[in-house]
Amino acid sequence: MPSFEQDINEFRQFIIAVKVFPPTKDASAYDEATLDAAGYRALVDTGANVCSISEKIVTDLNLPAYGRVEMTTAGAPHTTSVYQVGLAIPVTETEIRPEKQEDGGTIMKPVSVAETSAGFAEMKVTSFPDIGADRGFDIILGMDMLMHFHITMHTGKIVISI
Amino acid sequence: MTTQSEMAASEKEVEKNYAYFKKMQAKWLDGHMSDYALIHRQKLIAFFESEKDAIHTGVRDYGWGEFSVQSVRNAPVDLGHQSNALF
Repeated sequence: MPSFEQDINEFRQFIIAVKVFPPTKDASAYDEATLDAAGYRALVDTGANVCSISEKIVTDLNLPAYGRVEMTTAGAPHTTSVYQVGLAIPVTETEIRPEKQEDGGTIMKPVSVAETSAGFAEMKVTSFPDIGADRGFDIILGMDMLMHFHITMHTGKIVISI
Repeated sequence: MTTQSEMAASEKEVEKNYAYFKKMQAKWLDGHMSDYALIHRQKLIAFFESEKDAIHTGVRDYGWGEFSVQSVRNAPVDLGHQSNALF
């Protein structure tokens, strides 16, 4: 099971990298190998019940809306567009390997061996114009995606196993 | 993926379909509360039990940006804590 660890940021947020795939032309199953994915930063938000993306992503990927939904927020409820995308989390796989030291000794160190993506999911996402403009993220990862992962938070770190 | 102008047109189409949906929602709730309505050019095409099936049919018959799929219940979604900062 791939897993990775991320430190909490100065705003007490967990921000992770996420790849976003546009919908396939015929709404068939995604094939990660044949699609261009764009990388964005995502906020892990267990208080959100859905995933949401910025207008920047909608524009970057020319995403076609397929519906509207009412959104409840701290402010007045409002209506926003709904999109279908593929979301995946890029993961660097590491192995512990021996490394020779100048003094002749050997230490065991983690070495990157492969870049993969994990946790691929076809998701219904909503959009908002203001997300991430000056907050360092373009995606809110809500519970509809997070519920599939094993997540541990401790001492300022989050560990996600997919 | 669509072009910028197609994207704007799709947003407009979805907005018009949504206005039609809101007009019809009360009527559709009786008997289709848990269904998904496939709408094309402000006209109901069919109800589906699965949102995925409705989308698949919409894409197959009309293409992305040319249809809407609306949950008849249309329950509001909660964006969570970040909405306090964002809105």
